[in-house]
Amino acid sequence: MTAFVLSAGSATAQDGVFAERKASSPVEKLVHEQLPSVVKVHGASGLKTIVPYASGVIVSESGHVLTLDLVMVQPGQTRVVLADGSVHEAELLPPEPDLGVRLLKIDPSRVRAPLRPVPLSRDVPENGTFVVTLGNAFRLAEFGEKVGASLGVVAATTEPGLPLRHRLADVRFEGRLILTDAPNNPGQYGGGMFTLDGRFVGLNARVLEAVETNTLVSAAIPCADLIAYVDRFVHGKVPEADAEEAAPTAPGYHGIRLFDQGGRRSPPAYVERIARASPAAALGLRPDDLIVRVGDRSVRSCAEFAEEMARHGAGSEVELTWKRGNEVLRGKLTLTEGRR
Amino acid sequence: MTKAPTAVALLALVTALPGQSQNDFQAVVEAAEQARVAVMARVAPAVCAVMPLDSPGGGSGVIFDPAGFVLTNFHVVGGAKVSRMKIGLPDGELYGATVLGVDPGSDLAVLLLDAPHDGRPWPHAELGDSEQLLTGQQVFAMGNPFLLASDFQPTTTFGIVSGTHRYQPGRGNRALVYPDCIQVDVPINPGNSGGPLFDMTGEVVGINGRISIQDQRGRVNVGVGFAIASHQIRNFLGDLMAGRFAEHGTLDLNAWFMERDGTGGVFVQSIFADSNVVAHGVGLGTWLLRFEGEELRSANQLATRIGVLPSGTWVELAFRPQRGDGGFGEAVTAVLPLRRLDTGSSRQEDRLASAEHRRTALEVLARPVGRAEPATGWTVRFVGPDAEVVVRRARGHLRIDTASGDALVLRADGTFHARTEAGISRDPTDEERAKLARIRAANVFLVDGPELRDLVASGELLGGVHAGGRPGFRVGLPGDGGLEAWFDLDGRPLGCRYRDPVQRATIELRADREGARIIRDGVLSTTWRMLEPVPGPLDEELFEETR
Repeated sequence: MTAFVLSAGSATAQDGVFAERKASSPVEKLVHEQLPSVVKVHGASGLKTIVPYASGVIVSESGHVLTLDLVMVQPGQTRVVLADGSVHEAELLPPEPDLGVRLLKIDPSRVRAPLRPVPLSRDVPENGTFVVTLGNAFRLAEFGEKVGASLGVVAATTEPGLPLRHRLADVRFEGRLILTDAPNNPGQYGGGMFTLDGRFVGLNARVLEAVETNTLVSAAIPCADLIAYVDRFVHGKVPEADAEEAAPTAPGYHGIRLFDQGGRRSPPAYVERIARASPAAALGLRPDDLIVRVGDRSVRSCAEFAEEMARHGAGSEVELTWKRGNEVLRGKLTLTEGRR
Repeated sequence: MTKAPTAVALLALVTALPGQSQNDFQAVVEAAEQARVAVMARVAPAVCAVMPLDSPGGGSGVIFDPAGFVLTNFHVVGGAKVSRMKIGLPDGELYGATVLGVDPGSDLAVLLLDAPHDGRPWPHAELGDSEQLLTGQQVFAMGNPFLLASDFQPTTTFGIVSGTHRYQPGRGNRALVYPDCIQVDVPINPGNSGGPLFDMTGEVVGINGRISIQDQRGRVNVGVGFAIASHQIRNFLGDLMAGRFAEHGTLDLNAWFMERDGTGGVFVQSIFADSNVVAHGVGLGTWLLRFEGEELRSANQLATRIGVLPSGTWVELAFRPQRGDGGFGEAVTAVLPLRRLDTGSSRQEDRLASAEHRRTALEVLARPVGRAEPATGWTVRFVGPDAEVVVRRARGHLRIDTASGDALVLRADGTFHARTEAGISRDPTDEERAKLARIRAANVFLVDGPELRDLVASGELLGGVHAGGRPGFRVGLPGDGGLEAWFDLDGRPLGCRYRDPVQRATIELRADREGARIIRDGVLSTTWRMLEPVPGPLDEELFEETR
């Protein structure tokens, strides 16, 4: 059997399934050089609306693969397909919840050729920079077949917290996004965005809709924002700034107890009890109210409510939206030190 | 292929050119833009809007020959029953065209424009080589998306090759399969169907036919379009231009890729019991190693390679059969013809084209035939287990030295003679005379130059053929004996066919990589083969009657 030899500098006669001519233009060369670092990720399927495939980028020689934290990424059901076509079971590392990314890890002793990690760039490319995004759009490539490439320019880099939607649901995304006209599609996401000089500048985001404009955006999460996460789990480095954050301000007290039964899925945020003389009581919340929004984010479950409220310390003011029967009510809650 | 416009255009994508000033950089960008504009302007006149006569809608197409042959999608011409279409050209005029050949299996059709406009050649774009495409390479599409241009000025869109050799399954019963397509991020939209995808030299590398869609965005471009590779189109050009219903080949099996013993391989997942590979020892679980000498690394690769070949193509498949204990036997190489893939579309009348259409098509296909400098003579050796037959031809004379040692000679003036190994003259039999006449008439490996052009001019176009990895066309020759001469699209000999009155069998010589295979009544000769023909002067003495 011919080995799948991937040499970095020069184009080999055949490094994919089909023999090809040598790369000559800057984009051809970039694609040729970066393809070995981009992997196909296959995960749990089930619901029709869940796309069970994505892409990822190899970020360490010891088998770390950076991808998006998608529903399909489930323990025991996630596989990584390297550029040489080999299939590897992936272990799941803890996600980075604010940016929606996750590291996978494959066993480096099982790979045929040394992995080709690509360093995360600290630069956020300027507007107008040419970028190539690589990823397995629509799962067109299987096993050793090459994933797709698209070319575009950086349109803009957003401020953190652009309100986004995926289908009907709001998406919680705290970071910046590099917007591009390079087409992004299901399966392409989790793959890499590269500048023509070979810098890995972004991780392709999902195809999301900007809430303010109702337009779909092709975007990537800047690698610069992912370095701390990757450093922590790949190199065990805890950034200094993080040490301070390690003692987060305690969440403020609101006095709402939800009807939160155990179960596989967290139930909708129905109020079970309101503590007497609590901020929630002052606001006029009552049992059986259904809380639907915290600030400008929709909450669909008790877990999401808890998660949202945990971000607000004592003294902060939070706007709640709740349903009572057919009425939609809104009001501001001022959190206190409380009693706990 | 180093072509100036590509080089210039690609330079423009370098983000930073060290040591160059802003002005130099701007000059490079402007030069690239001008080169791009020039190429697009040059090919635009060949881009068509293709519309049915009496119903709304339509698609695009491209004229690929000055005689007026047009390529488009089968789904644009709607079906083989529709034989007439309207074609709008960027000159603003509307022309009539006849649908000649169709390929419902992978969505192609060839049309011929009605008599040339004022006798001038039609504007055209050359068919390029899609095998040279690389991911990241710049390409552009032209056509009539959303039927925007009522004056038939094509819309141009630009992007890169996103992937090559993509296999896209078809609709329903194996119709409209795209077995080997080019994935592009060039915007392709409804109405672009059938239009050309160009490389930056202005050659047609594909026919745009379909797009991936995403439910959130509707049935429009999402940056993933597919074009049928020109490599595949060439394989069916002979059939399509001859007005035939193109037929794809199949091995009647499905394969999948599996990891096994640390390496991946392609294994037979399901197989028809009457598949003709079964007789060679292929069954469930067989490990498929190579197809036509190319190592198999994915199941799509096999589907891609087979999907672009016409039925009847002889192919080489190397495999290791699975043994009872789960292990694999020794590697075996089978040589066998692909069968016809049933695409479910009911087979239409074989020939959609009139005799006149086919004459025009033959003139176009045979243009390169006989262009090469004629040799002074040709020698072809047929080798068997422990004997050989030598056939020589020069100046219209033909001589065969048979395995038994006899020499048979057919002279240019039509006289025959034969002599035995001992040099004794004898009279050739009637069968021997007929055989020599047929070989002289049909064996294209022994002819070249003007003789070859005369040969083609006397014949009629039958359809396409694929041999030795090369696509070509078949010419039926006058006279009895079922004579056919085959040529590739560069005019080189590809094979021949004749009824051998001595062996009482139909003999086909099919070019392969080292000469030709001999097929006798549809069965491959495993003991005899033809070696590469050798040009060189031959003495007149060889053809003279024994003194």
